Amino acid sequence: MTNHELLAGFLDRSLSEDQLLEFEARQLADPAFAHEVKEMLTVERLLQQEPPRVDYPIGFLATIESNIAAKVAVGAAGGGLLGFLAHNAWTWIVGGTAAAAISGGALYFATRDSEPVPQPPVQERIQSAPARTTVEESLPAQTPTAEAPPVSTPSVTPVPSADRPITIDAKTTAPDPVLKQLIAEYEQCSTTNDHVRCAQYSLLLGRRFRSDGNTSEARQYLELAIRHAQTVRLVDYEMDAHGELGLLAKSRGDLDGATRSFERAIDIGRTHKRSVVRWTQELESLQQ
Amino acid sequence: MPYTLLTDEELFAMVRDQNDEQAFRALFKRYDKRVYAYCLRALGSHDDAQDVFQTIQLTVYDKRASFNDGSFAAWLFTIARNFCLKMLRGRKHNVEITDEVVTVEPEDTHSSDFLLRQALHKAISQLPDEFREALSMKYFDDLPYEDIAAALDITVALAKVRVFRAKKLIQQTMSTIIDELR
Repeated sequence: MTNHELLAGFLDRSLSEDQLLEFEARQLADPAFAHEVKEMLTVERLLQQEPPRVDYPIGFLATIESNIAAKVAVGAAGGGLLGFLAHNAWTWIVGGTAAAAISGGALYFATRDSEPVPQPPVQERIQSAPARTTVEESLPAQTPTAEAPPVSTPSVTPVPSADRPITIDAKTTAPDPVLKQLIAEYEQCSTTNDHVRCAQYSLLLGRRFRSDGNTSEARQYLELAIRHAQTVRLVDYEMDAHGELGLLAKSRGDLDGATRSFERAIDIGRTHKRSVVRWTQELESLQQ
Repeated sequence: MPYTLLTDEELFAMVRDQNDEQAFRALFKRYDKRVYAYCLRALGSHDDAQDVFQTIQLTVYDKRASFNDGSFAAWLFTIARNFCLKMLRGRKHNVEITDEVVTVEPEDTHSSDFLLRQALHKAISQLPDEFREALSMKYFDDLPYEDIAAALDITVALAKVRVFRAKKLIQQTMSTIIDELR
């Protein structure tokens, strides 16, 4: 072995007993090598004891942890509820009730006065959301004879507009456990000003309402997502919320609005070196 | 079993397969500072480090299904390295370790260790990139040679050679000051 091989092995503590003896012998025979070994041991000590000290942004790290933990939790909640629903017979009973309610609601909305009903801000309506939890409470088997869930209310007794909960739209009255879970999570984080989770959940809610065709709820949640994301500098969420607003505008045929939103998403993404492929493609599709 | 007794891979499997939030938090805390420090060393500014750190963590979660075996640390640092390189390529220039990103505690200012440490940081900043990267992973990220090799896509033997050569270059650069302070 060369001197350097012995030295490397010595520093890595991988020399055998015989090699250690050889290493010692070479130092005794070669003072220059012995001097080199001493200097290398000093370097080794400095490297092990004095790594660069970093001012860690503890708050930022905690924010990211909380952010992704929320994603993990959402996955667990979604999977758990879906798993529960898939294996629970009452799912089908309540599902049938809900389907009837949706049909009734749709009929009601189709036949009622078409004048738009003013709605309170999302935040206000979310705070009134606990009434919705009765849907979930009616699911378990311990109340098999429970009354029909309040989702059927619109078809029977119209609720005064000022007090209408977020679920009043027939399209959102489906007993979607994930949606309810998301709203409950949003409620919880909004009471504690946890903007990270709020950004996460409001974006998810905006997406979900958009895919359900509920444009007014979608827009309001997406705008909330932008505000929450801006508050805690969650660039990805801010960018995606603008992009989702673009998709929402596009679905309504508002091409100018869609263009503005996609451009805003792209601008945010480029400024912060994020991938803007998706929103660029969406913008290009508008221009074709 | 307490989370602290589980390996990285066991914790990550719980995150991936069971959406276990506590397992995620335990695993995150094992690596958050090391990955952040890695990004900071590579990129040289807290703003860029935070941007890339966030992207790395989201990617690790979003791509969790693609991790099946091997070392979680090696996989994590491979992702971290790729994103840092991507940002550096975007900038078209490298940023080396500077006093701006290495904060030394003031009470050591007049000690000989401070002088040695200053010299050490300067010597590290002058290393060729591939040596500095391997050395940093070994000593600052506390990765074993196997994980360094996996993250850098080189053999374990080459990882050892790079670390040793890095230390040899540092010793040569610091030889004078080490002798003076001895």
